[in-house]
Amino acid sequence: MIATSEREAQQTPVVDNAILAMLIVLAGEVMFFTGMISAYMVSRAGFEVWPPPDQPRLSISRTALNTALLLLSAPTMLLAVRAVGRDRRRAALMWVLLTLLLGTFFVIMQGLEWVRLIGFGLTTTSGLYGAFFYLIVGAHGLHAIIGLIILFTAITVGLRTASDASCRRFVRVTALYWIFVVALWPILYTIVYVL
Amino acid sequence: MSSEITTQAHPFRVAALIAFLCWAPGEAGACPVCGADAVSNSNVGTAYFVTVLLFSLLPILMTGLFVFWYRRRIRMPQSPLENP
Repeated sequence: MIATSEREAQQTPVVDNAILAMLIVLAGEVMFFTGMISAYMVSRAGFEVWPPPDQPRLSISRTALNTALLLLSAPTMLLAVRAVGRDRRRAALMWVLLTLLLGTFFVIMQGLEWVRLIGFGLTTTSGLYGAFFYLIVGAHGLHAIIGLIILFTAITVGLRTASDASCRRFVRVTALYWIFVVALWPILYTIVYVL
Repeated sequence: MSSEITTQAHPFRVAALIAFLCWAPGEAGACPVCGADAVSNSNVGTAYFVTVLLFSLLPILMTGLFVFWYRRRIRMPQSPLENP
C-alpha cells in the first residue's frame, strides 16, 4: 500500500501539465507584446511631438476608470481559485461570474471608446499613431475576448459538469490566463495612453 | 610534429577577434526602418538599444523565474489543496 502511494507520488508531476502548457503559451504572449511595444517605442522616438499634432487625443480618465474595473477582476478570479480549492463550487461560480461581468464591461467600454475615436478620425490608416494604437490595444482586446470565452466555458462546463480534479485544474488555468490579461493592461495603458 | 593543443591566445588572433566584434554589429544593422534613424537620431538609437536589451533579457528572466519557482515547488511539501 505504502509502496503504491510512494509510486503514485513519484508519478505525480511537480507542475500540472495544463498549467505548464499555459505558462509556455503566456511566455510566447509576453514576447509577442514585447515585440509590439518595442516597435512602438522605436517608432515614436523618431517624432519630435507625440502624439502627432493632427491626431485626436485618447481619453485618459475614461480609460483609467475602465482600467480600475479590469484590475478588480483579478482579485475576484483569485477568490474563485481559492473557493474551488476548498471545494466550494457555488462560491467559485459566483466569483468567476463576477470576473466575467467585469471583463465584459471592460471590453464593451473599449469598443465604445474605439467607436468614438474612429468618429474623430483616428483609424489604422490615419498615421503611425492610429496604426499602433489599434494594433496594441486591439491585440489586448482580442486576448480579453478570448479570456471571456474561457471564463464562460469555465462557468458552463468546468464548474458544472467536470469532476473535482478537472474543475480545479480548469479554474486554475483560466485564472492564469485572465491574470495575464489583467496584468498586461496597466503596462499597455501607461505606454499607449499616459506616456 | 606535436599533437599538443595550446590554450594560450595568440595576440594576433585576439586582435582579429576584437576587430571582428567591432565590425560585425555595424554590418548586422540591416533593419531598413530603424537602422538608419538609430544612427542619425539619438532618441531612436536609445529606444533601439533599450528594446534590444529588453528582448535579450526578458526570455532569460522568464526562464530564470520559472526555474526558481520550479525548484521551490520541488522542495515544498505539497498541500492537499494543490493536488487535484
